[in-house]
Amino acid sequence: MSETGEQRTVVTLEDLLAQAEALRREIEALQKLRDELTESLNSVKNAKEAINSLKTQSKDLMLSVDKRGFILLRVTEIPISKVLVNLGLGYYAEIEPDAATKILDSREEQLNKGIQEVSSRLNTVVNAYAQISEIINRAQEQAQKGE
Amino acid sequence: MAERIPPELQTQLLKLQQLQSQLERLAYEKSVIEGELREVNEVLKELSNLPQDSPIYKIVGNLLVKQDRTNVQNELNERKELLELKSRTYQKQEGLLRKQFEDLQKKVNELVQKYYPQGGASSTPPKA
Repeated sequence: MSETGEQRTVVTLEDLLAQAEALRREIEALQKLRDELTESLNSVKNAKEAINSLKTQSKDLMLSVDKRGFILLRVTEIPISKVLVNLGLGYYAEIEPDAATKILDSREEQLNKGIQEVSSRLNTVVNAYAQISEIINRAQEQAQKGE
Repeated sequence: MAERIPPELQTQLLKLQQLQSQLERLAYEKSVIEGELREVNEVLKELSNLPQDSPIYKIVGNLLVKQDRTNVQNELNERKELLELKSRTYQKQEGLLRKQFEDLQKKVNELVQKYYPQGGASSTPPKA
């Protein structure tokens, strides 16, 4: 046989399965991260909506005591001259609503960028996983035929 | 019967695996540090954009405790310096490990060529 032929790399089925498992774990981690970022983004959007609503309507409101809204309290007025905004690392600043909205805008931008990056990486890993899975399936089919 | 990998090659492969896991761990630790550093810079940036009279609070358990702005900035700057130092240390370590890894990879490739010569007369490695 001539040595000028194409070089072939032999990969064991065991190696492929290990690679597929590593990719599957990465997919799970990326999905979890994307969900967390999306949740944070929704919180930021809700905070901005709340500030905008309170600017126009700060009297006679209903306030939820719990996350699910099982109990609501009637609030006669919420003063909106200042709000406390989370700066990160456990620090908060008491500032005017417009300044708080600016901070929330920049946070929203960062989160959107993060979600895009994670989604892009996720697509790449999912494609790689699909390719490896296909190779594994073909190899297993051939092994069964050979038996 | 399945071929046994020559002990010399096996030893080097084991070292290579160890180096790879060290590199992975280092990369993870470095990314954690860099994430913290980004957050510190973000808070410092937000603080510098705030009006001077804006009260600053820190969350302690379930309480928001009022803080002195200058103290907060000093504390964050100290934290930033420490994180930058750690980041530089990790970068140096990563560089050294990567160099070791590449050298060892070359050595392993040479051993593979030695024991498994392509198209050579004797392609069977010596039994360990």
